Amino acid sequence: MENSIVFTHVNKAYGNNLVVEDLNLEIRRGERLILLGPSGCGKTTTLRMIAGLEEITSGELYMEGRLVNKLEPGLRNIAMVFQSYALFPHMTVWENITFGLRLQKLAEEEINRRGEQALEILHLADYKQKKTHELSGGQKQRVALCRALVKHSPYFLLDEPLSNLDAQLRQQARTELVRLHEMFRPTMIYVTHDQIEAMTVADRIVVMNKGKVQQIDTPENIYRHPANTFVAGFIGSPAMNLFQGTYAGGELYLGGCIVSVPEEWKSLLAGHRDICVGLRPEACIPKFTEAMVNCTVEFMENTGNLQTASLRLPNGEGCFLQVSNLRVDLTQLVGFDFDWSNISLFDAATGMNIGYVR
Amino acid sequence: MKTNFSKEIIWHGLLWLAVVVMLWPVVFMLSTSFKDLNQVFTATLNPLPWPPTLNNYLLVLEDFPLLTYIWNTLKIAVGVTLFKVGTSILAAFAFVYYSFRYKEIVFNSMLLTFFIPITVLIMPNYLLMSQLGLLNTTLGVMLPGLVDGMGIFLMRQTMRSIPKALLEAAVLDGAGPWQVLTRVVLPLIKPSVFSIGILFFINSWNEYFWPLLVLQDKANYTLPLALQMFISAEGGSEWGIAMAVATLTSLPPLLLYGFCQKFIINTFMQAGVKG
Repeated sequence: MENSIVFTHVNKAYGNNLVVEDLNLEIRRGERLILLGPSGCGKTTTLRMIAGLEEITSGELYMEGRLVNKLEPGLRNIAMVFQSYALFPHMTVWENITFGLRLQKLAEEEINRRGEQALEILHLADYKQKKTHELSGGQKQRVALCRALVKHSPYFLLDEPLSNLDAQLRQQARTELVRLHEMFRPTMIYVTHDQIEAMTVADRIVVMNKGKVQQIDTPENIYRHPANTFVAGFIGSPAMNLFQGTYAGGELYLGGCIVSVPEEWKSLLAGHRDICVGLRPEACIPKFTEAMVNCTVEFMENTGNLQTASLRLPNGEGCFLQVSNLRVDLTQLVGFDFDWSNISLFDAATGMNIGYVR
Repeated sequence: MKTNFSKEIIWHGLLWLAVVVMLWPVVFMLSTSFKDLNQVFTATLNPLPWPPTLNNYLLVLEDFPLLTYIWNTLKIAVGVTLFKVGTSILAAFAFVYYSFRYKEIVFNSMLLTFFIPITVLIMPNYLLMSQLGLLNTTLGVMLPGLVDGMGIFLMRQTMRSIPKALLEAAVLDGAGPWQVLTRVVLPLIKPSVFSIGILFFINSWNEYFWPLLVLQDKANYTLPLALQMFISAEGGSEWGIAMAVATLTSLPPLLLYGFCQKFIINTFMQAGVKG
């Protein structure tokens, strides 16, 4: 796939405060790219730089191979959905969605055709003449999508578009978004702090923290092979368990227990001493007699489809274990095992992933 | 809900007192305008003239070029109002939505103009108008009033209440600054624009001192100036007629305010300024 938007060494600072640092990112034409991270990580700033609403302090931004650092937002042909929807309160739904087309001085016929089509797709035909304050949150959100859709823009930017909806509506709207994208295949850049949204919508996810890109990969790789301890701790609920461990003499000291390391992992671990072991709660296998890692159960949660146990290791570290089998009585467990193919190892000092044995 | 009755009474009493103090001159003006000269001096404080006379009004309408004065005043008030509203909107728009060098300094110095008393400005303004050869002209009356710090401040406060995302949405749709202003900002702040317009209009309509200095020719007089012609220092003032003219003068701003009271109050509530 061709690249559509490219950041090279982009920095964005407010005064001395660097909010986006050395951003290098290639966004492919037609993909759904999610910018994910905690608040203040620079994801919205990145989106706004693409839109031209934020100036770029240094570095270059290219769209279709053309340097656009100084290009006016109105000339970038971008469709954007704002978190607050930003619908014009003094206009009707129809006036809102055709506002941009009128500014472009399109023919009346074309405006009507595009407007009607978008209203049809988003099931808003009956609300055409309503004022925006007469609409519910979900309807407003669809009007905002409509306004973006009629532009037939190759870029679709969304800034936390679902954060103002309640949980049920959010699920619906998510599928709707993906459906819309499948219809028109614009390059879609979507900012969210909700990892479920990110995992379900994205072709690729960019995880950011404190202005820096942590990892750019598919949702599956981000989940299974986090690049560093930040990504490991940020993705998943409950998050990946991270244990402080020491590797010495072919054995791994973990939470006050000694685990023998399989032969093929020894070469990977050679040269490392203090490491961090990442293990997903669902990759912990509960054991009721003998276990690789011993622990005691602190409390239990049953969510109807899953059991989650909060555990305490002999050295005092805490962790979570999750099983979908509701019949096992987790209160009886004495420890857990893990499969080496399911763990991630990080350097304790740098927090970076050491790698995997394939 | 139960309210503290005795406390209510005190507040209401104070408010009524304020109303009486403020309304008394107006009542006095109204009643005097219906008295003949004898009654003015015999029943000065009587608010209900008996028998009421319409002679003062008839005299004013017959002998007095009222329409000319209304036209003179209206010309200035409308011109000043439109121009001042325009400059306030444009300056506020720049202050709110653009970042430029020394913006804070410029804005703060503009705020400082609030604290300069009119009396300080009278002399320099007069000299300026004299040098420009604008004494005794309508333009000379209008010129110093075409820009107003208070107007800019009030418009800025209102514009700040518009979410920035709305303007960004318009900009992304390809709107230039002029389109953002006319299609998004102005429709949203219409009530505030009306209300500062009305305030400007009333102020200009009632202005006395500055026109008095600039205008010398009676044909150019505005209504407040024309009023003083009936009050002569040597005695023999035509109080009844003067009050009839005063009543007629205060009618247009009063009506205007009555119609637009709601707008005006809202604007001041939003700006957090006590009017």
